[in-house]
Amino acid sequence: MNKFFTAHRIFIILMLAALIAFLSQVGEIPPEAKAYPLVFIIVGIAMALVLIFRKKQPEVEALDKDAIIKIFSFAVVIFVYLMLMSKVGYIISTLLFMYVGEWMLKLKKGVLFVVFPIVLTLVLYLLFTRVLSVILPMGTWIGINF
Amino acid sequence: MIENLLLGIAGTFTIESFLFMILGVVIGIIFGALPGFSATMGVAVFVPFSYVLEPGPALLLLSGIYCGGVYGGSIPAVLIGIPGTPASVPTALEGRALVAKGESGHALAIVTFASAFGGFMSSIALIFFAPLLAIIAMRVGPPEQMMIAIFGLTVVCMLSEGNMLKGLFVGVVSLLLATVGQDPVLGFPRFTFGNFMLSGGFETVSVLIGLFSLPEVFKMLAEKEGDGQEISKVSKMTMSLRDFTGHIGNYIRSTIIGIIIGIIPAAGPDIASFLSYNEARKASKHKEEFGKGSVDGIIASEAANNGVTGGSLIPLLTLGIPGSAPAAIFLGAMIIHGLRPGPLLFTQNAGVIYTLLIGFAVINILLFFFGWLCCKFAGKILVIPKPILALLIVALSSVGAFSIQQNMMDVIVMYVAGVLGYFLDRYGYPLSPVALALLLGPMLEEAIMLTGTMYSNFFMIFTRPLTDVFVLFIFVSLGWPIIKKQLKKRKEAA
Amino acid sequence: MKRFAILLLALVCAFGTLYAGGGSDANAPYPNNIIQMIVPFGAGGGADISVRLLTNYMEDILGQRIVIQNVSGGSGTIGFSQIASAKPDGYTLGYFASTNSNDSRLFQGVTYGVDDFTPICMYSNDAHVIVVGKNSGIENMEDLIAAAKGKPETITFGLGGAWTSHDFLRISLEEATGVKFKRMVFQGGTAAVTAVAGGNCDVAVPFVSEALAQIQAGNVIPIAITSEERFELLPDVPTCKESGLDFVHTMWRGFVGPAGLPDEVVTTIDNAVKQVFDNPEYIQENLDAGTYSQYMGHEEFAQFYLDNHEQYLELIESEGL
Repeated sequence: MNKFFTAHRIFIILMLAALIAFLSQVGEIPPEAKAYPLVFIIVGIAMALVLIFRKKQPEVEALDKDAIIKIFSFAVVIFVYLMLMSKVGYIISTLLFMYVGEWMLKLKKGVLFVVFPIVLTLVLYLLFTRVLSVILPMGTWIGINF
Repeated sequence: MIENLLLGIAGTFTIESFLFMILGVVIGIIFGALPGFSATMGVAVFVPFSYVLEPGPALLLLSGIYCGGVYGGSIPAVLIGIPGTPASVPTALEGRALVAKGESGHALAIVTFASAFGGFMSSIALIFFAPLLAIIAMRVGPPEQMMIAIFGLTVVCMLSEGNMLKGLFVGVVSLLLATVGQDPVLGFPRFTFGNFMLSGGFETVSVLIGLFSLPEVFKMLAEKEGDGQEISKVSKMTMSLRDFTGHIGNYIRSTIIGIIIGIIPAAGPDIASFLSYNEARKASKHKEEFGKGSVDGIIASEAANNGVTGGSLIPLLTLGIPGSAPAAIFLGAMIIHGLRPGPLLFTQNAGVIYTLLIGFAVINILLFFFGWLCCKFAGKILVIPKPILALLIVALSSVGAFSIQQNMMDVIVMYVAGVLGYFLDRYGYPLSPVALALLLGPMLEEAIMLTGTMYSNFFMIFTRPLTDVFVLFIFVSLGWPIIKKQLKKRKEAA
Repeated sequence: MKRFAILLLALVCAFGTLYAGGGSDANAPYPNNIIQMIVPFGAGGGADISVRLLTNYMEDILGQRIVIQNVSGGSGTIGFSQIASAKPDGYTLGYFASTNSNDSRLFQGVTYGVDDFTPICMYSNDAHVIVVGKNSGIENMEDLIAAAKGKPETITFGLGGAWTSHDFLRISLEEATGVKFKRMVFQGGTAAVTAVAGGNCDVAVPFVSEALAQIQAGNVIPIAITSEERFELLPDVPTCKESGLDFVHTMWRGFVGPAGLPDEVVTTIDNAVKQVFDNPEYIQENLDAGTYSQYMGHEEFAQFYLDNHEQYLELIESEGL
């Protein structure tokens, strides 16, 4: 007996929940702007229900545990990086991200390990702030900015 | 006319002009190639740079960046399966497979040639047909735009063949996501869930960057050491005359699609590449190849996305309406350099404008040669170990997404799109409909609203000749494959 | 590989020192660091161009770079919020226009108001030009008003965006003439003009810079201009007043800072702008672009800013928004 709650079904159920959340917001929209998105919400919900309950489910290539952990932790690391960016500024957060990333991905320690993040971060920082006149996030807590 | 052309040639063939054209093309290619950066960004950041220059060289520089940028995105698309700009997504779909077959060099050669061809032909259209095409551009009103948007969205059906429900689901949800933010008529912030930063909606380019690069990054991590064949060298870059003549119909059709999309405001290289790819697939005698390394697919995508460049300048120069996002930035640069679009532009500033027009054609030729060079150099990417590449792509995408609007929210959106994209990909959902829906969604809603204001009786729109042309197009486009199938069946039965 | 990395590091350091600058010296007078100018609209648009034209000249006078940040989205509300919540140290300033102090009434979720900004000065005051299609048969304001009276809520009136100066012009015009138009919202004044040129919309009210191309091509006819006086680039177009309608509507643009900006900053920037206006090159550039440059110094502007806010507030309340 195949289990009902496959990863795919759970994913679609989450999408369905999101669609319902959107539905709850429709009430606030003034009439002229309401119809267009409402159509998509309703059609989307109908489609999601079919996708959840139909027999033919996608065959998903199984990932071994190692890969799952790697991907999940990397995703978390990226998330933390982005959250930190506005708090400690671009330079610190990017350096941190790169070092943690290198360690997590088991890169060989050596000169390159140390130098690569510094070079990349500096090049990007200087390129954007000096040459392209785009101001990158400065930390609100602490930050190296020059 | 002839004197003006000669004037343009004189202005183009100077050392100064060549210097800036080459500089522009190379910068553009780099910007296009780096995931997270785009042609629009490249043009935008060099506009301030261009102030110190005279208008002529400044426009040549920016044009070079524009053309190079649209082309550059296809280099990583082929080599690592990550499009450098949204316009190269179809190329990425095919390029990956060609690399696996060991034909990476051939793919790059075709990409370079097709882009240069499309761009060059569009510059010819710009030089000789601009006034005529501009008149057509002017008559494109809301009902026509609505039809075009619908036509573009039917491509979603084509792209999800085999996975129809899934593809449509993705399309519908994406169209819904495109409505987040202020609506076009009242400015009411929809679906922001109280988060003020979302009232601008989702920034399309950020979403696309996340959607097409992060899943690949995650997949890179899942690969085991020595998993599959490690391709570390680009195969020889060659292409034969037959590669061109054997596909000449494709080249011409794709370029025309590119030029037309270019003329239509707010529809840019990204939409053109999809539409063209779709058309090529419909016309192809080898449909099975698509998705598995079809050269036709690459030709279609590349000729079209560069075909947009010249086309987008037509409404820009004649009407002041940019035909694509980079063209919008171009407009600002022109005005700051004292060049106002309009009919007087061609008489008052003939020297500068014709230098631009001729220069545009030359730029596309330069694109071919310098693109070729860059490809050879870019082959080195394949040598970089995957983990480092992964970190690099995340860093570039983050800073690239941020620099679009200096809005941290865009970076978060990029990330979320990437995570979602990874799961969608895993469960067999096509990602391309997201791109199409996000790009066309706003245009569709606006067109519907405006058409509704113009005509209280919907059926009145069919009194407009252009609308009828587009509707016919949609029917033929959707119907033709079905008819062909039926005819084939009858033939076989007989 | 090692050598390559070290070479790269050296290059980066050299690169860095080459571009060093923008470091601040605490004892130097303002400005002693790069100034951020937030423009809440996209690059290449009317607001953006007007700011760039001006800041190009201001940089030389102030001796510091002014970096333009385009923070677009939400009809400008996201950018304006950023300006309002920035530190009032004078290194973050912003663009402002006539309708924005009332954004909280027009758009949900807006947290800034008239008191969250320090007005510095005005640098532009653009009139709108009323255009109709060449085949419309309308030749002047009288014709337009007559046509609108004959077909209430039918004549389509093209706007460049929801609640922009275009929209307020429509509201004021409807009040002044007693007619009602049918509101058609486009994305940008140029799109509205093109719609009129293509016969898809009856009348539009773009800025001169947005309409010039089509006027010169002969596809649209300008029937009136909404400023007090005629405009140099369109000498044959009468003002609304001349056409018998006591109506003036312009959109001004200016610089502001977050609330609580020190007087020193305000005066320095104000003076810099005033100096730029003495430069005939700047005036000519603006004319070429089709924009009106007009300077109003801080003293006058501070009060004007508040009066303007009240004016628009009244308009909004009368429309019941």
